[in-house]
Amino acid sequence: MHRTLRISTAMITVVLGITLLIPLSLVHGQAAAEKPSGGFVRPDRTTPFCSSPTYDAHATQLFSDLEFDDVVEVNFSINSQLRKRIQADLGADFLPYDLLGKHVMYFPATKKKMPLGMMHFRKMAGSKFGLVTVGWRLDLQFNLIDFMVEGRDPATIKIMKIRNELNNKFRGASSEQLISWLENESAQLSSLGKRDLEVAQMDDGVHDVLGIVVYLARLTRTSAKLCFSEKKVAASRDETDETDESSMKDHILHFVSIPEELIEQVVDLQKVSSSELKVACAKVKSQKDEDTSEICCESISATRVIMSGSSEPYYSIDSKMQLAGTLELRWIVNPQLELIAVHVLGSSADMSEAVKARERSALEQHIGASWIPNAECAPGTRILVNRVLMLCQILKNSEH
Amino acid sequence: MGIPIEGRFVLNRIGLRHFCALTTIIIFMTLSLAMSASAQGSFSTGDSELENWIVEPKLRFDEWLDDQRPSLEIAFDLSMRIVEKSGGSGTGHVNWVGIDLIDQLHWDGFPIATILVQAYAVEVKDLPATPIIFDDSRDWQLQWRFVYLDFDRWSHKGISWKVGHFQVPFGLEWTSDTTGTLRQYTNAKNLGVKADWGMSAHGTVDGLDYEVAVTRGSGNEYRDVSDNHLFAVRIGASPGHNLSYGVSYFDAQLTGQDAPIGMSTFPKPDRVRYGVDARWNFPGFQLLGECSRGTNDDLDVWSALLEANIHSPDERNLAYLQTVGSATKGVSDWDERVQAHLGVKRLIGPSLSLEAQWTHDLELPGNAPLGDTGVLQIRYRF
Repeated sequence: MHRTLRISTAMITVVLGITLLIPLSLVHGQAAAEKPSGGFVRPDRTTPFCSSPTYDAHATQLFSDLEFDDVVEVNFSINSQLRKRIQADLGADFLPYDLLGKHVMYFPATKKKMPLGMMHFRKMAGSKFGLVTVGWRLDLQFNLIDFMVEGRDPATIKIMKIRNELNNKFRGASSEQLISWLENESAQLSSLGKRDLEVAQMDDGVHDVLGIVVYLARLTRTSAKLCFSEKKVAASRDETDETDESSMKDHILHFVSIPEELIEQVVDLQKVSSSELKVACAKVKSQKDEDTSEICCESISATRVIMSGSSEPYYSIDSKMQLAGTLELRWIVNPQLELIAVHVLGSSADMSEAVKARERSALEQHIGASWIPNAECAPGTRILVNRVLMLCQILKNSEH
Repeated sequence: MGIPIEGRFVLNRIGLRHFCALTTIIIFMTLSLAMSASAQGSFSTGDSELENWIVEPKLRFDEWLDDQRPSLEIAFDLSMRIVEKSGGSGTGHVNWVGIDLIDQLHWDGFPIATILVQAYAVEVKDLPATPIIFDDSRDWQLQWRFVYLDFDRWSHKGISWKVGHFQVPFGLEWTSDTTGTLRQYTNAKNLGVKADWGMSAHGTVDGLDYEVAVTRGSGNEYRDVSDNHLFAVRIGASPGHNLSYGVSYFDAQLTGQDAPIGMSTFPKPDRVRYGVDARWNFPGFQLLGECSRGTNDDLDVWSALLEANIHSPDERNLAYLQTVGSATKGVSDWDERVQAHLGVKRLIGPSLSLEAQWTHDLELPGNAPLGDTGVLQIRYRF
């Protein structure tokens, strides 16, 4: 009887083995890159948190040209709403299955928490060897700077060997160019992509993995821009997010909103105390000019930006603007009291993207403006600029 | 004297019936899993009404949690495992409900540590071999999987410090996710402990991953029995590359209590092991190997594992064939135990995983009768 049992066991092992292995081999044959794997409507939870990888150790590789003391990790969530915006921005149906949910953006930073750039990592199914991990380094203006690719596919090693040459192509590539390097907005390298990246002579494995690298360049840049150039706008002050992490995100947003040519000179950010701001704002309110005096002090915060090349600070003023919804703005003013940048920090949920874009463009027209006393018949946005410049002047005077 | 011939025949008949039932279940399960390959698209695009009812409140809770504390994540983990062994011992069950929580602690704007808590209430029912952490063949126990604080502020400089209940760094297990899965490596049975209370230093330096751990040697519960302790170290190269390998060392005086699940006795608590492991990748399949030599008290032992697996490109479908062997040097010869495991795992949609594994005894110590064990597991994490 035992013998019969053992023989049947052996037979079933073989039969079951074949049954198990054949369907999987067939599935394996279809490269995941060919089918949209981003169909999940909620975050993938099939894997325990203990096996979530961390990538901060890769900062030494991706930021080898810069000196940093810490790597700041900032969590960000991609919900269904944001997923739709990313999808619209990319103009593609094809999204990785783990797009939704929590992600970590790593910011290598100096001792004084000055971020030097950011890096983000994502895994995507390769065609033969399983998952490929791609890390992209971006600067604070979301330009592609460097990348790394890791995986069981030997093609990853070949790509890393020509990384410097590829980086030269990526750094100068526009969004349209990146799209043209992919086949039908999938993660497959197009013939133009093979030609432009000068990899046409290399094997298919390299083309497959490089397709993922290009695809994730676009995805990383889009999601980083949407998550880190804006913040949540609270409907009321009570809802203001005061967690350590959100304050770090705010801190990083400062650098994103500072003009590119000035970033490297930033030495420190010094928040203006609430008492000092209250006094300065009260002075603006007491102005004879009606438009200027209508400043809303409750929604304003201010920071002095200390620059290495300037004995006087720059100013960063945050204010809110009520339209069809709330728009939160950051104004950057130089020591000569000229507006040098205006950045839309975010908007309330009820404001449409079209309104936001229109207001952004109207505000940007005032870049370079200085304070005009008693500006009569000025448009609404110019009045806002005047209030901010007036406030900066009072803050500047209080320093002496 | 043994069982009378007639009695043995009756037992074997019962065993054969159970075996046939088990085989039917496994084949049915396998076919369902295979068919779900084509159905996966529909599984992954939307939730059913039942699933919506289960997960909707949790999704709202997640959204609220994200507002309150962006770094905190909580998941619920439910699982049912059915175990059937040939030989007429009946059907056993392992059910669990658990919580998996991860968060980051910050200091002065910088993250300083990661906290992980995986606490599970595990129920066993009539298993062929009930693990001795349970008092009875039908019992509940609180099981700590991983519960630790990992001070990882300087991980980019190659050093982190972990304290709590974590995986003992040894062999292939260290590079794979085997928490709550049917696919396991040798640590539980070979070392006598898979996770333990203590502390470790770990990190990556020049492409080499390392972890050095000093722990209590008591397993699931923290116990100071006498001089129980554990020291383990693993150094490995290129975990993300085509060929990766590692060497491990383990020296422990265990409590002799709380043997891990899958092990019913804990005879030799004084253990030393030297191990090597490797993982080699080919298009579509992997080869993994691990072997270790050492002693249990004063007896020589060895352990080895060889696995071939195939996986889909997104690594959500896996089939594997493992051969696991171990032996203890007896008075005249080695007492060997060799088993083959054939398993399949599929991740379906964002929450569901299905697994099936069939174990066949190829050789057991003391000429014990060979048998087969089939296990099915359905797991839902959300």
